[in-house]
Amino acid sequence: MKRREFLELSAAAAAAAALPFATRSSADEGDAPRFLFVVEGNGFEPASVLCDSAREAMDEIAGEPIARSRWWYNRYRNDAPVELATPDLATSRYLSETFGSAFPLEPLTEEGVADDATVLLGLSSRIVGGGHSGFHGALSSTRTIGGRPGGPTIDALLAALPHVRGETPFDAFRVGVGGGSAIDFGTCAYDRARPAPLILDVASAYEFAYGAFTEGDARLAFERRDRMLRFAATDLAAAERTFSGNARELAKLGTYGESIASLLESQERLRGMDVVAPPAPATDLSPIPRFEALVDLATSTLIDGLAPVAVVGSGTGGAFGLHYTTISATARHDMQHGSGGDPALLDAIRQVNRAQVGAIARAARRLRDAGMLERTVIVWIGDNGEQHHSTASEFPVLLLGGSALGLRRGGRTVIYPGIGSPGHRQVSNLWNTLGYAAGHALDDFGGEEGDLRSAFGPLDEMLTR
Amino acid sequence: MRLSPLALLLASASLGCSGWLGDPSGGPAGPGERDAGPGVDAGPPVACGETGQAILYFERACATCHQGSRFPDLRRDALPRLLELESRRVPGERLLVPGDPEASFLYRKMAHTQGEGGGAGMPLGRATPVPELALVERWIREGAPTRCEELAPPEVPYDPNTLDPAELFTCEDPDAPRSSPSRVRRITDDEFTQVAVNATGTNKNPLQAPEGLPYSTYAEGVGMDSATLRLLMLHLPAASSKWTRGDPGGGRMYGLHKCCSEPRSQIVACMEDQATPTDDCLDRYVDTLLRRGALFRAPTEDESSRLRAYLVERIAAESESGITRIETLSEVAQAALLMTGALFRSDVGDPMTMDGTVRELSNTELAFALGSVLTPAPVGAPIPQGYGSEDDPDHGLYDDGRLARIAAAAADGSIRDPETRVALFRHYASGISEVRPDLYTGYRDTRGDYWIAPRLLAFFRDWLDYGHANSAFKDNPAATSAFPSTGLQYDAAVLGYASLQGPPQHSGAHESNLVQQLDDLIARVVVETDRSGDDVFRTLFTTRQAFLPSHGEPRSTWAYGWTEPIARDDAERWVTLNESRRGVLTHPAWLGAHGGNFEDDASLVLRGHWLRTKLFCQSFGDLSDVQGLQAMLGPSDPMHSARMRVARATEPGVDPDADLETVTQCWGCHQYMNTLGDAFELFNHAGFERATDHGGPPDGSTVIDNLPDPALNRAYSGPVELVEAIAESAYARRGMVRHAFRYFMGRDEVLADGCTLVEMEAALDRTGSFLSMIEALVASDTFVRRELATEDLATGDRAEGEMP
Repeated sequence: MKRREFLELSAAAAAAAALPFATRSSADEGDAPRFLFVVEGNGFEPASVLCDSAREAMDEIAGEPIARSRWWYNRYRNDAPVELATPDLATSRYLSETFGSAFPLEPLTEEGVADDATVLLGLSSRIVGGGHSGFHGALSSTRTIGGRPGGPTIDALLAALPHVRGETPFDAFRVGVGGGSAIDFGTCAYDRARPAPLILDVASAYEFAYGAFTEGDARLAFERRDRMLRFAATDLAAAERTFSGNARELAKLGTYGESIASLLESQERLRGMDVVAPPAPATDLSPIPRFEALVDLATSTLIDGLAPVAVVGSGTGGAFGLHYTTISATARHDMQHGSGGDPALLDAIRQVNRAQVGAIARAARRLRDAGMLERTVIVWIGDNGEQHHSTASEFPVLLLGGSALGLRRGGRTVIYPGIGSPGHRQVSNLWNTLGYAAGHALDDFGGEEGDLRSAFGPLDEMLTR
Repeated sequence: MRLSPLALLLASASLGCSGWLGDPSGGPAGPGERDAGPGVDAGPPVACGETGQAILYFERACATCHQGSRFPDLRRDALPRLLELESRRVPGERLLVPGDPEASFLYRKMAHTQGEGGGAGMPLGRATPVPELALVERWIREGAPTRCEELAPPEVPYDPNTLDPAELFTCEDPDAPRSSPSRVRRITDDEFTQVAVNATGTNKNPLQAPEGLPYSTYAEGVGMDSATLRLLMLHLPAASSKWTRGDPGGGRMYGLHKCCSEPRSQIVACMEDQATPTDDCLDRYVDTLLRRGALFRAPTEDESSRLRAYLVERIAAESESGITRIETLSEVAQAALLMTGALFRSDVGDPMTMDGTVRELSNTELAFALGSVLTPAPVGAPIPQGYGSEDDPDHGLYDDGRLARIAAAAADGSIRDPETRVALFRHYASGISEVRPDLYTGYRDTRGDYWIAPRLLAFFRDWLDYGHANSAFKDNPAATSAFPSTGLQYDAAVLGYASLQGPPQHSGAHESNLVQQLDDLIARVVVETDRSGDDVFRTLFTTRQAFLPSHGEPRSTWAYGWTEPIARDDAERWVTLNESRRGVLTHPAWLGAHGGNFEDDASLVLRGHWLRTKLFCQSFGDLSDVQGLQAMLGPSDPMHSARMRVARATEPGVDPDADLETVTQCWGCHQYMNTLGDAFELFNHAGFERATDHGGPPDGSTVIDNLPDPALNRAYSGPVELVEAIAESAYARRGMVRHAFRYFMGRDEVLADGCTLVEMEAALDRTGSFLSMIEALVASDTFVRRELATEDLATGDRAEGEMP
């Protein structure tokens, strides 16, 4: 096949992947599953998501009050999951009375989405390795070594499912709040040793998503990009024709060709869409407002049908020393280390968490208003585990939405048995569950082999079946 | 044609010990190329039944480490020899007894019943035996057959560390043919920044080498994925800005812009001034853009005409679209940067030079190859006006851009002569100058005057792996040292260390940072040993010199143990450190880069790991092999130094409450790291010298018994003794030679490279000079010749021009 057939090729590929599309309206009107992953680089502790009624249950499970403990992964004495209806999911009087801290989940009530929320406790993911950051581990249930992911992250797997991807121009929208660089390769992965970049620069993220729909310069840039890509494709075809090396090296050029084709296909899909771009976020925001803006932007991409999956990282990929200047003068890493001795720092951490939940809750409300929350799953998870220098023994999870995808409705807290119990479950089981929610029977996600894997399959307690 | 991403994902295997280069080359390879995963039984039935399965298991899970000189070799061709071999750990124990698993030491290692003195269970890093143990047991009971002709070809990732150095550094026939694999190489992020002539923001481009490659110069499997391309395109406007309009003041380039009176580039001026540019103007613009802005070589007729046609078409479209000429030029310049020749450098070899599968690099390719040994700037990269000095190696030829002499030698063919290449290398490699021609940005007057070419320095940064020392977080950096510190954020020691990692940059104060200080020390050692004939390796590891910053308060040099103020004077910044420091391995940049966040963290493991792998070239498994074992230390304890914490977690018999079987498994890998790193525990995580250590004196003593150079296996009282011994070790010095080969050739060495390695080592022996060592490489046929691989992709032969 000659490269000059590119135009037909890209259209053919688009047609092969989806139905021929007509002009789209601005709202994503299908019924395809959607996913939003919010990954917190310093994690959040089990105590930060434990409401009062769940705390009572936890005291019973542990056999003694857990009181001021912030994590308790080796105190789960249950051998079966404990499923609780917790209508007070967003309330912890204990936290305010004992610590004077606001409870991070409170914004769920404020946005009216507490009934769509589920808290999962007791899931481990030891393969991640723990420490300051698990890098790609949280989302992939593999271990990252030397920056190299051990396998695909769940967002990449879901985005690749044809009925999830559908006709969206982008496979995923991955953004984050980080340190100094413009891109983070340490959070998501297409596959083993193939990281997927997170855009950390707000302006780039906006242009990436909405460049095709803004007026003026960005629209011209869109058309220009089209022409440039076609030029590059023609040039590449000529280079391949005259290439005198071996096939293995030629294949590298082939990957470039595939990438050009992929971008051209995105362009075609974008061209057929009629989307009202949201206003561009400010570019000089400090970490919390920047995070809020990116969650908002990510939510917009889901609502507008630009991507089926979005990932927003905050201090992931090793950038665990962010300065949340709107909350504290102390950098996050130091906050965590000082929190044992200084209640003000512990409170600051919880305020950061609360702000994050606030952004997530707003995202849930927007999705609900757009009629999409029932087929969208929002996941909030840390990238390291239950504590700052984590042992990866527990990853608390907040889930929202997905009730039309086979996920049980929220307002619940589910407490899984601890490591060593036959009923113990892992984060990889959660990812299997999302596979099922996406209509894909996923039973073995992740890299856990042999007895490192507690069980295959999804979390039955999350599915209505 | 477009591969379904789902097919790619499902086609990836999740293997156990899959080794360093676990991702086979080719990037997003064709479907069916790798094991169908997941799960043990996935895929078509294996030939020869369980015999085949066992052979494949050994290959997949063991042979990455157990190959070559790594006893025992478990690749399929070596399996029959197992019948004759005994354990080296427990002499008398036969490795394989057909019919009797319990008598087979190999089986007992897998079953974790190898007994005391039998070492760690296999594979390394597991808490419990692998599920395949049952398969191996049945295979042995059935007589342990080791042949299966029908099996698919082996796919064992190559590990050069399994070569025997004595065998490697052997040259029986210096005239035997030598070559390197023919390849294309995607440009790296630092090269793109140079192409963009350091335009704002382009240093944050997405072309960094994928993590997991040994060095950024490696090209195996590096293509261009769509996410990277999408992000790269965001940088193109800035990268191409020099080709649209010359900025008055900042953006002029030698040879392309006149100075002062006419701020615009000469070639741009006619493009802007003429509504319909003349043919001559168009031709010059296209040709210059390609030669000096995108391809950095002469364009082919096809490349020129295509870009020219694009430009003409866009100019014609201006009137109806309202697009300005500047926008048109920007678009065309950006498109030029997307050309295949702009993103992929050819290292393929010219088929016209030789018959058969071996050829020589073309002159252009040789220029690229030689240039990239020296600098990321491509040959002919424009030099911004305002840079340059009499000491600049391109002085007098600025109009022709960087490495002009190499371009000239490529043009007249003299680059094919090894002596010419050596002379060119020497010309650009190093110097002594206040003006520091190697630094494109930054403040030169507070840096040392010794310099080596940027890629030569980059080798040391990557090999010694200290480039991240400025961003390594250190909690309470002065902990356990003689410098009093609370560790809180406004403490003198904390502030001092912070200014070392990130010195204040305002007028009147722009001193060097920690990484730059080690850079300048290394440059001085390389330059001085080149001139004096002293051995560079020995000097790197034993010098007591250091280059320090001058700050108002001396606390910024406490990490060096230096308490005297330093005047803002070049001579003053060079100091001789006290007796407790020797060479790069006691430099706070190296110690900090290979150090934890806390003084009682496992810094010794990081340091020992570096020594074992980067100096002694030994592999021993990976953290990715660790499954089921809690790879973590016990909690901090005032009574437990870092040494003690690490030993309790990883060394059998130290913590009476630890599970012996688990710790034995940990020791399987930690035996290779701990005793090497223990010596450096006289320094804390940030490189401060300890004064006290958890209730006792600091302890840098160690007994080493497992280094491959037997002369080094003894007791040491501290790090100075150890580094001095290492500095005298020819075996260790070979590690530097091998890693330099890997870095500058961008690939692993193989046995066939022996003669070139011998020549590199001989150059060191003769001259002591690192530069002479690289000259030997540059002069060799290994550098000049390229061989086509004879095997093709699994998708079969392909006619020229067909797409994969």
